[in-house]
Formats: sequence, C-alpha cells, structure tokens
Amino acid sequence: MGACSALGIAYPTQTFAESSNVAAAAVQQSKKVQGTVVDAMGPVIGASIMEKGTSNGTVTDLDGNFSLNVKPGATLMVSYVGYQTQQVVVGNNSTLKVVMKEDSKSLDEVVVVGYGVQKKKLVTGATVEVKGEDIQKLNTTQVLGALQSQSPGVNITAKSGQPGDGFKVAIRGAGTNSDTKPIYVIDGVSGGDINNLNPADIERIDVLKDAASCAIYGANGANGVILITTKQGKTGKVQVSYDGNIGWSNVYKMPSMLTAKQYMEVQDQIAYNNGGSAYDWSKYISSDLLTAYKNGTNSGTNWLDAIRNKNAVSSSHALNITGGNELSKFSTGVGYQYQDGVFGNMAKSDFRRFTFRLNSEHIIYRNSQGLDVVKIGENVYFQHKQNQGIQIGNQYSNVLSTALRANPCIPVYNSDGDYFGYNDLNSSGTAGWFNYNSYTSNPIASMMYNQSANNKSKSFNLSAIGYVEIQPIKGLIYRGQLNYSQSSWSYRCYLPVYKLNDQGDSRTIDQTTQQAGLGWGWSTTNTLNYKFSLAKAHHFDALFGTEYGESRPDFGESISGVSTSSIYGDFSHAYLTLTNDRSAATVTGTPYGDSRGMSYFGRINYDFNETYMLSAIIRADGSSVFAPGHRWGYFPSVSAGWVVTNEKFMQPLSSWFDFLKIRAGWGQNGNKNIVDAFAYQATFAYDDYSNYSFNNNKDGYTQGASPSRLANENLTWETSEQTDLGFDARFLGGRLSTTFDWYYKKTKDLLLYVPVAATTGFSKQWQNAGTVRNTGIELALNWNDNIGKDFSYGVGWNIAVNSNEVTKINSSQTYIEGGNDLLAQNTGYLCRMEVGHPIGYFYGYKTEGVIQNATDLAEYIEKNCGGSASNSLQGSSLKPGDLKFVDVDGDGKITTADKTDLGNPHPDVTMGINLSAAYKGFDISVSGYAALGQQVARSWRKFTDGQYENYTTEVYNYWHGEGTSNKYPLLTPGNTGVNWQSISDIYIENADYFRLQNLTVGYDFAKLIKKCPFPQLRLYFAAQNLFTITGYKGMDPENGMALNSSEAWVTGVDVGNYPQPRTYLFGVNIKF
Amino acid sequence: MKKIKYILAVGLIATGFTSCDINDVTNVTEQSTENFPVSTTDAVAALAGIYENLNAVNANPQETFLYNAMLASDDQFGGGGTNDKLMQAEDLLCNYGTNMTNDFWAQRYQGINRANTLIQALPNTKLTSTEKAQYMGEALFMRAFFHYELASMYGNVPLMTAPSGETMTQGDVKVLWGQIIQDLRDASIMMPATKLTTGHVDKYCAEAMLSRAWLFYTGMYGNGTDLSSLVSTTYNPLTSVTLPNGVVFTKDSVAKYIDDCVNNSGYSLVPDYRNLWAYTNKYTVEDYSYTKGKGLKWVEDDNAVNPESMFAIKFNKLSSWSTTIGYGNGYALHLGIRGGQAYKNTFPFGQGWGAGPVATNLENDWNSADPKGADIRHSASIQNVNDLPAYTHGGWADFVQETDYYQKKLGPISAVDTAETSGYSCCFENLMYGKKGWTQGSENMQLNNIHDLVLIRFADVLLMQSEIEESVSGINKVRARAGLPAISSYSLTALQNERRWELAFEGIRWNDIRRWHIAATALEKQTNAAVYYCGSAGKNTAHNGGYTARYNATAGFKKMPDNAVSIGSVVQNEGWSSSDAEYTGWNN
Repeated sequence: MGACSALGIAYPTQTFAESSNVAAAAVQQSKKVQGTVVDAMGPVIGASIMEKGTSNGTVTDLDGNFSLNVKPGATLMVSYVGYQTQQVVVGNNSTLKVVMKEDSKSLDEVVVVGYGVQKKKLVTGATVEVKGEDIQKLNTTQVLGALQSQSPGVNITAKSGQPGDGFKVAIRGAGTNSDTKPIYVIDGVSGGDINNLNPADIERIDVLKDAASCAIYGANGANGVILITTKQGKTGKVQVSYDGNIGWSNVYKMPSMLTAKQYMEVQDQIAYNNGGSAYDWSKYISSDLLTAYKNGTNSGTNWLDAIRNKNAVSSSHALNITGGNELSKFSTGVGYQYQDGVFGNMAKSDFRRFTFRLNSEHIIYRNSQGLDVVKIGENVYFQHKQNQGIQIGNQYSNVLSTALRANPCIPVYNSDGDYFGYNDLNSSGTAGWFNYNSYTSNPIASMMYNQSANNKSKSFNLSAIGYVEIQPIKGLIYRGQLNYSQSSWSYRCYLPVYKLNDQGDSRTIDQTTQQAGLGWGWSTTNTLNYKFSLAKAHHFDALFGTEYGESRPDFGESISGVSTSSIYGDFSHAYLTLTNDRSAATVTGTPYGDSRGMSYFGRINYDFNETYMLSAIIRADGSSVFAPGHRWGYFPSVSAGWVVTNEKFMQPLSSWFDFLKIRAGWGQNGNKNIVDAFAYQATFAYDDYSNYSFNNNKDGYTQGASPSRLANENLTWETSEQTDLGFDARFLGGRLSTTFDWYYKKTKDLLLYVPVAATTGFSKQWQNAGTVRNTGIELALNWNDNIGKDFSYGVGWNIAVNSNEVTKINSSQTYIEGGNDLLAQNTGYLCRMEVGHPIGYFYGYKTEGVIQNATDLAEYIEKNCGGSASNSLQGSSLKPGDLKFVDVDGDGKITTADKTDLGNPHPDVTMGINLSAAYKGFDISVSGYAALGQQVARSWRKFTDGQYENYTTEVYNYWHGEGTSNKYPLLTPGNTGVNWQSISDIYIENADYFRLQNLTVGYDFAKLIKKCPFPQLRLYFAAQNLFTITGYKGMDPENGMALNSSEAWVTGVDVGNYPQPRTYLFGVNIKF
Repeated sequence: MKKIKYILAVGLIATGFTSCDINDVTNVTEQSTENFPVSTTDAVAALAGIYENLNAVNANPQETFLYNAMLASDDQFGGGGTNDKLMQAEDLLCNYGTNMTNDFWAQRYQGINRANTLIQALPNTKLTSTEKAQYMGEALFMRAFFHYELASMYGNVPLMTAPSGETMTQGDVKVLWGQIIQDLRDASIMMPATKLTTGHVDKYCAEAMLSRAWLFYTGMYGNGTDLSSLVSTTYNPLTSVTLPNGVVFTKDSVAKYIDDCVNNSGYSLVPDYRNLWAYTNKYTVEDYSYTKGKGLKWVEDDNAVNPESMFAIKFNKLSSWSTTIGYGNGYALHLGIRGGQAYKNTFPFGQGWGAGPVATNLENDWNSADPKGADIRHSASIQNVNDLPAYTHGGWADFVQETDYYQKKLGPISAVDTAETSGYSCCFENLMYGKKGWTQGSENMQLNNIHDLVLIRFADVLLMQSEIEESVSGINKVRARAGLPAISSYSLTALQNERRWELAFEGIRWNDIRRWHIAATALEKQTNAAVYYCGSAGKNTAHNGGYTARYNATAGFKKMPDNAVSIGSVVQNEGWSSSDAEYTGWNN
C-alpha cells in the first residue's frame, strides 16, 4: 500500500515521472510490447503497466493503449485504482489485451473521519457511511430525505412537505433545547448547509455519531458531525453521465371534512347542547344555495380540496463529467431540480434549484521516487435556489389550518366569478353572514390577498475551496486549505388592499416588501499529518492542525424595506421604487456579527498489527462570543478497538466468521450555538421597543434606547460527554455484516435562555443551566449475496433506540415552558423541558374517559374529586358527557397541579429497511422507514375561540349520549367549557408510523441492446411514499417543524401541517 | 530541488499555522453600558425608552392595573364575550388561567429597570446640572409611577432601586411605599418649576402623583398591613410616613406640594366638561345628537394642548402587529362597542371588544344623587345604548355582563366620512391626523385609536387638595365647572361622591374605594344588578362566593403571577390559592 492509500487515492507506490529516461537506458536488450487495458465498460485510461522487478513502466492513454519496451520473458504488473492487479507474462506476444476486474476487497475501504481518512477496519469511533449512489437512487430533492432510512442513530424528520423545506436532524437524541442540527462539513469546510446540495453531487456521506469521533471538531461537535464529500475526480477515461426524472405528486391522505349540510347539522346540535335552539339558516344563506345544501345537490366547499394541487410536477436533471490522468483529475456537474407543491393551487408553492460543481486536483511536483510532493486542488460549488410558498406554521396565517377550519357553506366564487367576498357575505340570506358569524370569510381569497400568493425568495451561494498538499518525505503531509464562501439572497412580497370582514381579515393599505442580504466569509484550515511505522507492526498516524475563521460587520449586510401605495398594485410590480409612499417606508439594515474563532487540534491513531487500536484527540477552541476569560474550551477524547478475528483463537471460526472488531470510546464535545454574539455584554440598543411620541407627534417618535439584555459574563460552552461501546462484524465471506453501538451521552452546561425574575427587567437570560442525557442503542444488519451469475440481492435493516431525559435545570424553576397558545388562544404552554422528562414533552391534564351516566359521575367524583363535584375542573355543574380529568397528585381536587406528562414528540425507536435485487438488466429496490413511540399534539380547530369553525367527521365520535364515546366529551360551542378548552390527552395522539419511502424498478437497456452506444441506459419507475401505515388521524405523522421558530425544541404539533406527498417518478440514467 | 521543496514547505506551514487573535471584536449594533449614556442625546434616548413602557403595556391592556382598576371597581362590570373570561374574572375579583397578568408585571419591572439604569448613569454623564435635575426627576417619577401601579395591583411587590440581575424578593411594604413617596418628593423638589406640554412629566406632575400615592398608602394601610386591617371598614388614615431616607413626611408636608401644584403649575380646568372628551372632536361633534349645535369643541382638536391634562399616554400611527401594538390605544379598543355593529348604528361610538360595561348601580346611584339631571357630567360620561341609532344587544351573540349603559370617555370615537363605503371612519383620528402614515393603514379599528389617554387630570389635583386639606375650594371649582352649586363645608362623603362623578371610568375609583375602606359595600351593589347574557336579560349573579367574599379574601390585590411565585421572587397573595379564586366561566 502506498502512502496515499489512506487518502483513498491508492496510487501504486512507484510510478514514473521520469520514465522516458529510464526507458532510454533500457532500450538495448528489449522487446516492444503493445496492448490495451479494458474493463467491463471499455478502455481504462491511466492504468499503470510495470515490468515486474524493475522500475520500468508506463501508463495507458486515452484509448487504454500502452506500449513499453521490456526484457523478453518479462512479467507485466497492470494496476489501477479499484481493480485487482493483473500479472501478465509477456511471452511471445507483442500485443496484449488486459481485462481488469473490479475488486473492492483488495482495497481496504476507507472512511472519512475529519481532517483525513482512516481504514474502516481500524476506526474506533461510531460512524455511519452512506454512499452517494445509495442517496441518488432514492431520487429525493433533498439529501437528508434520502439519508433517513440509511443512518441509524440519525433521527431525521421532515419539517413539512412544502417543496424546499428542510428537516429536523438529531443525532442520538436531542441534547440541547436549541437547534439539534449537527455540523455539516462539506469537502472539509465546517458550517455548510446540506440543503444547498443536489443529491447528485454527493460522493459519500460519513456521519460521526460518538464523541470520540466528533472530538476533532471540538466546540462544533456536540450535536454530531456529518461529513459530506462531493464527487471527486477520478483518473481514467472521461465519463459523462446524465440522470433525469420527472414526477407527479399528490396528497397522500385527505381528511374528511364536513359538508355544508353536515356542518349546519353539527352547529344546530351544538346550539342544542348549549341550551339553545337550531339556527334559522335562511337568515344567513341565500335560499337557492340553502336548498341545494339541504338536499345534498351541493355539498358545499371543501376548502382543503379546493387548494389542492393535483399531479404537482417535479423534475430533476443532473449531468456529471469525471475524468483525469495520472497527474490531474476532475469532476464537474450541473444540476437542476424543480418541485411543485401539492397544496396552494391558485397560489404557488414550488422550489427550484440550480447547482454547479467543479472539483479538480493536480499533482504539481512528483519526485524521482514517485512521491507526490506538491499537489493542489480546488472544490467549487455554486447553488442558486428560488422558491415561493404558502404560509404554514402556527394557526395564524397558516393556509392549511385556515382551510381546515373554514366554513363549508361559503362558496369559493360568487356568481360573477369573483371570490365570494365581503359584499356577498353581507347580502347572504336575510340577515347576512355577519350577523351569524363575523369571522366567516373566504380563506382562498384571504390566501390570494396575502403573502401566500405573493412572495418569492431567491438565494445564491458560492463555496470555493483551494488547497495545497505538500509531502516532503514519505508519510508526512502538510495540507493548507483556504475556504471562501459568498452568499446573497433576496425576498419580495406584496400585500394588496382587500376586505373580507370587519374584524381584521382586511387591509386598508397595501404593502410592498423587498429584502436582500449578501456577504462573504473565509476560513483557513492547516494540518500536518505524519504516518509512520515502527518495527513494522506499530503504526502511527499523527495529526496536528489549526483552524481560523472570522465574521466582521463589513463582511456583509442585510437590508429590508417596506413601503406602501404600490403604483401597479400587483406582485409582479412589487418593487420599492414602484410605490408612491416611499417617504413613509420602513427600512432596516443590519451588518454581519463580529466574531472570531481559532482552534488547535491534534489526533494520534495507533495500531499494533491492525489488531489493537488506540486513538486520542484533543481540540482547543477559542471563540469571541464568550466573555474574555471564558473564551477557550478544551475537548478531549480517547477510544480503542480490538480486532478479535485477528487472534489465533478465532482461527477455527474463520471459515464463516470473517471479522469482529470491538470498540470503546469516550470524549467531550462543545456547542456554542447561541443566538447572540455579545450575550456576555451589558448593552443598550436603539430598537423598536424604546421609542416615545413626545410633542403630540402622531407620525413619528423620539428614537429611544434601552438596556437590551441581561448580560451573563460567565457564559461558556455547552459540553456533551459521551461514552460509546460497539462492535462491527462480518460473516460468511462478507455477505452478512453488522454494526452495533450502545451510547450514553450527557450534555451539561446547556446554554438555556432561562426565565429569570421579572424584577431584573428581563424575562430571560442566557445561562449554562441544564443537563440532558440521551442513551440508546443502534444496530445495523446487512446481507448481500448472489444466486447464480445473474441474480444478486441485498437486505439492510437498522434500528435505533433512544431515551431522552432532562436531568438538571439550574434555574429556580425546575422546568422551562414552551409552545405558548400553540393549540388555541389562551391555552397556555403546551410543552415543557423539565427534570425527569424528555425535552419538549406535552404537558396537560390526563383523562380517563368520559362520564357516561349518574353512577359513573358519582364514581368519578368519589375517586378524583374528594367526593365533591365542586373540586372537579368543571366545577359543580359536572355532568355526564364531561371528561374525567385525573387527580394525578391525589389531593382530591383537580387543579393545575394535576397537569402531567402526556407524551413526547421524539420517537423511542426508529427503523430503516432497504431491500434490493438485480437480475440481468433488471433492478428493484425498496426502502422504508419507521418511527415508533412518539406523540403528536393535534388540533385543527381553534377550540377556545373558533366556535363556528368546521370540523372533520371525527365530530361524530364525540359524546352524544351514554356509550357513544369514552374519549371525546360532549360537543359544546368552541368557546365554552373546560372539557375542550383545557389541554389534555384528548389532543395528544400516538404517531407511530411506517412509511414505504421508495420503491424503484429499473431496467438497463444497455444490457439488452448489443452494441449499445451507452455503457448504461437505465430506465426506471419509482414511487415515493407509496404508503404510510399509522394510527395517527392527521394527514401526516411526521411533524418536525417548530411552529415557533425561537423554540426549536417544541415540535410534534399539528395544527394543519403540510404533509409529505406521494410521488410517482419516471427516470433515466445514461452513461456515455 | 530538494532545498526549494523544503523551504516552500516550511514557509507554507509557518504561514498556515500562524495563530490569529480572537479578541479583536466590536459590537457595532449596540452600545455597551460602559460608554452609554454619556451625552444629552443619549439621555434623551434612554428617557424615551422609559416612557415607552407606557405604550408597551397597551399590547395587552387587559392585564394592566388601569384596566383592572376600571373593571374591578363598582362602576364597571367585566363584559366581553363568553371566551373573554379574563375580563369577567377581573370584575369578579377572580383569576382565570395561569399567569393572568404576567405581561404587565414583567413590563412594569422592565420599565423600572430602564429608569434605574438611567438614574444610576445620570451622575456620570456630561449633561448640565439643569438637564440632570429634569431628567433625574422624570426617571424618579416614572420609577415611582411603575411601583405605584404594581403596589396598587399586587400589594407588597419587590422594590427595585438599582439594576440587578439577582432575583429580588419582597421586603417591608412600608419601605416600598416610603420609597414611592420619597421618589416623588425628590422629583418634586429637584425638577425645575416649569410646566411642560411635551408629554414629559414636570415638577407639578410629580406633586400630583405624590399626593395620589400619599392618599392611597395612608388610607389603605391606615389600620395596619395585614389582610384584616386592609379590609377593615374603618377609615383611619396615617398622618405621617417615615421615608427610607429618614425624612418624616406628614399630611402637612404633602399639602404644601399639592398647594404648589394648584397655585403655581399653570394647569387649569377646561371650562366645559364635555370638551374634555373625544366625542366633541370637530369631525364628530356636529353629527352626534348629544353634542350637535351646542358649540362644543374638543380641547385637543388639531393637536391643541389640553390645559387640564398633566400626565398622559401618547400614541402614534406607527403601531404594527409585528412590533409595537402598544403605540395604539388598546384600552379604547377593549372598551369599544361589542359585536362588530355598523358605525351608523352606534354612532359615534366605535367598535371594540365590549369590556367594562357601565355597572347598573352607578347609573342608579347617580340618578338618585342627581334626580333632576343638573350634573352635566352624568350625560357627558354615560350613554344609554337604547338611545343610540340602532344598537343591537348581545354583541356577537356572546356578550357577558352587558348593560344598557356605555361609558363615553375612553372608547373609540367614529366620524362621518363619505370617502368610506360605510360612510364612516372607524376612528376620528384617521381624519384628525390624516389618512397617510399609518403603519397598518388607515381605518384599522384595532390600532387607530391614538389620541392621548390622560392619567392625571387637574380636576383630580383639585379634589385631592380638598381631601388632604379637608377644605371645599377644590371641590367647589370642580362642581362649578359641572354646573353645580358650591357646597359650604367639607365632608368625606361629599368628597367621595364628587370624585366618583368627576372621575368616573378613569381608573381612579378602584383605589379610592379601597383606601376609604368602603370597597366591599360598594362592590356588593353590583350583585344581582340587571345585565344581559348573550343578549338575554338577566342578573349579575354572584360568582365564586360573591364580591364581598372575594374582596375580603384579597383586599383587592391580584393574584401574583404564577411565574413570579415559582421563580421565588414573591410569595402568593392571600386569597388566591383555593379553587374559589378560579373563574371558570359565566355559566359554570
């Protein structure tokens, strides 16, 4: 193995930079041999041909041909990366054809470990590797979508199904209340955004899960590290490939909304239950419409269906070109992806992305011993993204939530073909809708008149990396890398004047918003790596490195302007210049933050005979975001491994037991993921909350300033400490492989924005104030085999189990609350982060059914209310049909002290399954993903103030007499009664699910057609989200979005989410 | 060759590994307290930051002391819809939900912290001594005002006289009130004897506020500080208070300040009582039958200075949903007519949420006290809704504690506006201050009530002078303006009645009945008064044990915010830990 092998490049040790001289010296007694080197696909460019036992050799040209003068009877060694080395005796032949055979086993698989690579068999940490092809074959728009089923321990949950929306990622459980996203290291640069990458550009992804692996990233590693390598150049003939597909998406599961007739019946029932009488609908609905509703000829408006976008189109195109010779190689690609959303219909919800990649590497100086002394390379990635979307999120301005709640008796359009609006509502029936329900207004009109239909975002990102590697002596490599990134973005929005009702669904002044930002940044990484062996058996791999990065106010800025009185009054002309009222515009402009980061790190890997491994890492990180004196953090790790199968006592089993490695590791990582760079500093800010209108100035105010935060000089890193035990094993000639890990992760000094006493003048302060523990296991099993020559198949299954618990909150409260009023107005906090519970668990009343009759009532009062109905939550009016709230604290009274843990949004278990099979040109693959044990809090109605909102047909399961329901109480007006208005487990649902993520069937026509001009011509059909098995009653059990963006830990709340669509794709893979 | 190679390598490595300084950072978007405030401009900005607290609480007016004082008093009910339980809970002296008034609590302490930060910084700034005296006086006034509201609402609250990141707890309530009085006394002494009409408080505002604080504390705590003393029906006010700085402050001391305010401030009564209220504005006055043709003119028309307004909350057109809703008058919105009724039907009173319907007992008491209707203030303050063009009872079919009477002073006022399709502008301010420049647009009925909300009126000063000095001159000036004959001798009853009529619905009455120790009796008159529930006539039935029981259990102090209790800053007030304190709904 050459010195470079560990870098995954594996050149032969000796090569021929000065081969012409050598050849000249040897010419006297030689024989000229000509030949061609080919593989299954065709000529192999750059294969090396060596005369055995000499330094005489050459490489193949672009057609795979070579010619070499050798001694008669010589043996040629033909080698090329990834192929078995062939020995060919020249004999009397002067023309040779050498067929190279791929051989992955001869090449020790390497994994990327951060600032370098390591032989997989020597790795002592817990890592997962996913090959680019395994990502590409799932044909997802986003990389993370494809990773979901292939990376045990990496919990990936889609935030929504809206095109372009991201994912919530938590490696080994949520260790923090802030964003749990890991650090993405793209081609050696920390801090990139995986959502900017086209999956087609990915060569491989390596996930570092345990602290021993992540410690090399120190203060950035607490949430784990995902290393992404984009496609790199390969020596060999130029290979061009095109991958494209087109698809159609649809909503997978629509809720069953009430029809107009059902709605009226239910509202009548509610009125009756409340002691009133049925409505006289003719007062509110025009007579012909009412007749049609009542006789069923018109079922009213299904608003959700009306905003559905059927057969939403998506398409993807990727062109990749790879090639190179012995000294230079490159890989370049362009990609375009488009995805239309399944909701929006009249309003667009779509996403498009253009990407360009150019990676190349060049050997500048190779010395006479064949050592690559100076190598340079660069990776350039450019991405341009555009999207527009409907508003989703919490109940306000959420198009889906609005559609779920809207009144089915309102038509979408009036008889003139305009949106059924204010005047139509006013003139409906004899009294007009407004006398019945002032909040009834057309949600589609509202969507079209608001941001949802009138917005566009664009972004442009460039990342450029240049590096030089210098290897003055064999095994000693210096690498200097300079990273430059540039990004810009813009956003436009137009809000027109409209009026749908008198209570706020109107706008009297239009608004044009334009925002833009741009900036750049740089960082540098320098490493010195020395690999050496002592006494042949002791192998050392030592690394020392530094990293520096900075952000300065003059590196970038963002500006925003909002003006009124648009001249044209539409979105396409929504630019600030085209508004009349620019003197009254609201403008803001802010610079980048000012911060510096400096790091030093070192790693030493040692192994004895590749049997006993030891690895130690230390990283020191300095960051200016903390107060002077608290700026440096130190993160150590140590891990060890033992390849048991190398031991003599295992020899008897070697016929079936190929490999067993036991690993153990411990380490610490940091997290400085806090919002404010100067949180340690006491400051005044000129802000919007400090102004006062002295002097009767109605049009303006005196700009004020006020203390902007409660400073904390003692702030420091969050530290995550983790122990990992695991093993990797292979059996039966590599056909069966397995990986197992157990971990215990404790995140301490959690950076929490904790509540402080209001007397400080502030409500919250950043403090290092908590501890969270995650513990779990991960197991992956893979089976790959062939039956006969033509049939091959594989089965992969993985499972991860995690348990999350907050073990300490250093505030005077033992909990932190979140999710205020998320389910409905005035319902208070839904989620808590509290000692003894998982982060973000749902907090509310536990119920034990519905009171069915008088006996039941008496029993409930006796059991939970100390014998008196007045101690119930409902008070002395407690009656059948009311919920049985449980007296959790046993004091004989139902009070807020009885609120308890109702479930949590994090799965206990996640599973991935991947099946594949190939027969001749046919291939089929299936992947599925399951998440089990999590709950979702769902409310599609604003149950505290939305009396007249629509229901789904679930309403028929509400209690309406003895024995009709033991879960949901009596149906009452949305705005009365504690049964519906208290947060209880009636809103919490189990959301276990299994999703068949992908089913792909393909056929390679190149195998069918003789003399096919393409080495590969594969056509395929794929179905994404073919089905989801779940007991969850909402549209999609996957709810990773934090409805309040400042509370990343509050997830799993469904007030009308944008579900993952089902997509059918047709695609093609062509290699030229 | 080899040499070059090594030199190159060593050179690159040396450059690459050079350590960079991470300490060279500057905060360019904020000012460090180490160098701010220094100049006059800085101090003006810091001062504006303190006043902004007056606006801040308007985002959630229903949590504030002022709002609570209106609804909890005997003159107004809770009102609102069946789901506006907080409004009804305030009237019934109950709690609804967790942290019912936490926003107000937190915001007032934010204001106090802003004031303390400036108070601490001022001595080291480069301001002139006159500027320092004025600014220090204003900051002390605001600190005292914020503490006054908190102490009136919650009782013994933590006293903050310097910025602190620590959790401060309750001390001696006497020290708390001593400090409030001391701050106002200091402000009265140090501020220049100049009347200001800019919205800044002046020396005379401090004197007025000093008197208000004195009267409340000495009355409320006259019998002692424990609950039974507070709810005792004996009125036995303190005559002297020892301030934290050792000064013994007496009734005679406070008389000097109120005299100075009456005699030297330059503030005066507006000749016609009706001209104090926005329904006499020029865009409305001639279309409202009550004011039409009477030659009335609002004193604040066209930004004129109201000579009677001493301390008011200023509003502007810049309130927005995304930032500061409080730049609009949230009280007006809440007090507005419920039910989304057409402006023409309820003219000139605009739309809102129907908080604080006039309690029937007030109307009855006023009618008995003034059977001939000589007191112009009665009709100037209360509108019988049946006399409106076409009022509909019931609101949005969910109106609770609705009565036939609507307070006219502080709600939204609409105006005829032919430019609007309805023929009316939701708020006369759209016309008075122009339709341009509103952040959320003109005709926004929620945000466009932006005329001043007066917190201290000179009439109050005159009545306080009478009360402190037990003289009739102040009362008689106020009576004369109302068209009533002078009274010859001072009596507490006469003073009490005069304050009730003159200052009705202005948030004054609540502290008055408590400090006079007549609260339980006064409140009880609301029981079984005629109200409408969801449009149907009924009675204001007793809830949670009734008004008297709730008052005697709490002395009218609110439940401490649950957050403040759980974080260890305060202990819960008496009367708030049992289920009797929890309002669950009108029919529950």
